Amino acid sequence: MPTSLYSAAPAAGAPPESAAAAMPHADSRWSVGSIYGLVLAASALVYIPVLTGLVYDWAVNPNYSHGFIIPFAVAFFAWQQRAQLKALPARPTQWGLVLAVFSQVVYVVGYLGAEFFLQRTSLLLLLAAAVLYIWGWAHLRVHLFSLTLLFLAIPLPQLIFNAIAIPLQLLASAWAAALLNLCNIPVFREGNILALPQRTLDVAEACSGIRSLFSLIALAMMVAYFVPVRFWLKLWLVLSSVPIALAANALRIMATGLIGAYFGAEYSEGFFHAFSGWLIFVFAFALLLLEASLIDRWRGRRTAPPPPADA
Amino acid sequence: MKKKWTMLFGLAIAGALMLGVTAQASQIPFGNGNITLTPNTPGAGELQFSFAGLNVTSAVGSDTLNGAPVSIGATPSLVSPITTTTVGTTTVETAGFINPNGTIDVNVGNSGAFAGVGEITGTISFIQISSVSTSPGQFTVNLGLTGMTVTTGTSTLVNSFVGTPNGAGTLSFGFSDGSANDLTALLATNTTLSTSVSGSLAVPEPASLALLGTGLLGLAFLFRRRLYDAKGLDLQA
Repeated sequence: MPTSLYSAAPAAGAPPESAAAAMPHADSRWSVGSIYGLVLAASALVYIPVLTGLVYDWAVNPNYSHGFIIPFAVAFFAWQQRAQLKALPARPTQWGLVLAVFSQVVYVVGYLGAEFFLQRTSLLLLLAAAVLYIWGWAHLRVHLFSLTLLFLAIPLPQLIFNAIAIPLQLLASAWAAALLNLCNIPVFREGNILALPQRTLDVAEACSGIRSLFSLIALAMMVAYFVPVRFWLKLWLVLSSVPIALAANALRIMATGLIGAYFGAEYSEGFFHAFSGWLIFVFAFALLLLEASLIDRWRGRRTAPPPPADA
Repeated sequence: MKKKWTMLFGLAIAGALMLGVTAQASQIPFGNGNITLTPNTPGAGELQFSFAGLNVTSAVGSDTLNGAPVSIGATPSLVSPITTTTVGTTTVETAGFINPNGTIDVNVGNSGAFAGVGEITGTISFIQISSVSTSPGQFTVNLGLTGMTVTTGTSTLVNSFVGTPNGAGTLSFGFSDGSANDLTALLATNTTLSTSVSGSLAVPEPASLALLGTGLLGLAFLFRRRLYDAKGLDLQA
């Protein structure tokens, strides 16, 4: 449970004076450390089952197996931001307490409704609350990036997931059918079923492109993090990963059809299929990097005060 | 030191990628078999399908379909004529058969030692047969069903049916007469056709771990000099 490391970090590194100021009721019998210990222990008690379930989901759900990497990426970014965070003054705010209470309301609602998504999201809210309570808004703003990344590792409720995946399936099928027609491969499309002369392709949930979509969004966020441009250009970069991922998936399905038609069905399954899917994702990612580099050259070098000695 | 860690990370990702690949091996239900296409009255457009000698090539889990008799019986009537569509340089011939009252009964290993393996029944909403000029003698058949009932067993033919139980679904397969590409002639004669039968093929993406992992590896490689000071993107570095 690498996320719990993250929650431990603010408590361990808390400047004692700000913590004491934030907690006027702490008297001599209860040292600040023991109160933090108590809060941490209580949080662990509540969230260890939540995290165990989350890790299990990552292990069994191939749509969310990227969850195993996200905590490491977040840990890296937290480490990367350490100097920036150190430079920021700590301004604890009581709003942290309000957010903490709200996170527990969310947890209770999730617990009573047996809703994993709410329970898991409440942990992110609690982490945000801890940052707010110990260090304040400026620090939370820095951590918002990591929190958003963590959010991408939480499986969406099936209802919402389907609301995204099913239209994606139909869209990917329609685009792939159009591309196949362009290549003179006759295809009969019925919803998400592509009937080809040799093969019928079933664009199932796992083919919807939602995996590459989420993965590419996470990657676009990280790329945007490193591009020194204004926020709206970063946002543009992240948003542009959506059409790139969707087009790449349509291309992937078309390629499966083409390979099946020209080289035989055995190449449109198994290792070759997985490998071609992976290759197309690499292509999509390269496209995203190209875009980032273009944005960087167009905007970044001109607006940012240039440090030429660095190049 | 840093290089060593990058390499270790790369190895870990490569391992994860391999895991993702094996987990995503596609579920191809069956391979080569025979199908008999028999017009009851030559030229009348009544079709009977029967399968024999289906050969399970890469079944998921255990399957007793090997060598079991499989039969599809259908008596739809031809209502739409054969149409020819040209897509680029490729000509597609399509024949539609629509008879809402026709029923289809797909029995998989429903006799002898294979009794009760699995069954699909339903009302035919359409039968579509299409063929392509670039692949002479190869036909694709789509059987559309409504009011479908599915008794799933260990049979992958039944389980690979695309559709909703009690709803609509499609059974697709292809056959080949080996030479000509003439559907009219095919329906006008009592020909037994040797074919390859295929179920529908799911085209899953690799697991998201493999996708995000590769991307991160790429990022780490591209920004290996910049990661430590976050001065910005520089692809020439």
